[in-house]
Amino acid sequence: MKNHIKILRTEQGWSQAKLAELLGVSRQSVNAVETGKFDPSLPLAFALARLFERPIEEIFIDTEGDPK
Amino acid sequence: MTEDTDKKISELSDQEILDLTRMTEADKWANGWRALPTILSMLLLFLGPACIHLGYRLGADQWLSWPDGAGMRKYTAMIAYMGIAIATSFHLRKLSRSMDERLDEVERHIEYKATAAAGNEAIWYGMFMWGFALWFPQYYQGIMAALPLLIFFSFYFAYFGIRMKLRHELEA
Repeated sequence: MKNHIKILRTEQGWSQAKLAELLGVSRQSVNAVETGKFDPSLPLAFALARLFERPIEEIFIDTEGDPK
Repeated sequence: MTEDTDKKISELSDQEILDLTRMTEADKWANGWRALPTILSMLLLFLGPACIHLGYRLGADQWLSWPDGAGMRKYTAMIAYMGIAIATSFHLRKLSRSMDERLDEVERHIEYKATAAAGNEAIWYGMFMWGFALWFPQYYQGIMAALPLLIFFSFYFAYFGIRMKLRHELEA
């Protein structure tokens, strides 16, 4: 699943470490989610939505229907 | 962390390798003084009978005679042994549960996968060594005596390797 976390994080001027601190996860985990290698759970997705003050669908892009 | 996700593990710098082998905050929490009672009581279960056995120079066919060597009744020794084993497993369970709560979801995903894969590998390695020992009766007893340690080390070797590989795949 793709996402706009990196853009939103940069807009806020936050480092991965700062975002990790705000979310209560490790910096490496933020990197895994940000690069789209790990799909976050709903609670973490909602936490991101709250932090960026955006709806979830504006942060994450559903690529399931995309042609392979 | 590198932006280059195509880097192989062999191409990583020392710092990146260290990052892949790091202890999580949950690991640090669980593996400090809190783990000491578990480690000591687990050691006691192995070393207690072994030391008594060696101290009293009991023969190879008398491994279960260690309570006699210690001057204990066999049932007293069995109850004490089981008591320590049960207390240890409860403490270990509590420790694992508390550690699990401290892992974030990516770390938990990696830990579960690495533990399951390493456990699988260790079981097959143990079965292989046992099968190997059956082909060489002259070494059977020696191999079987070393088997718990071989399984233990193969588990951790596999666990650290797989965890590192998964971290590389997800976090790099």
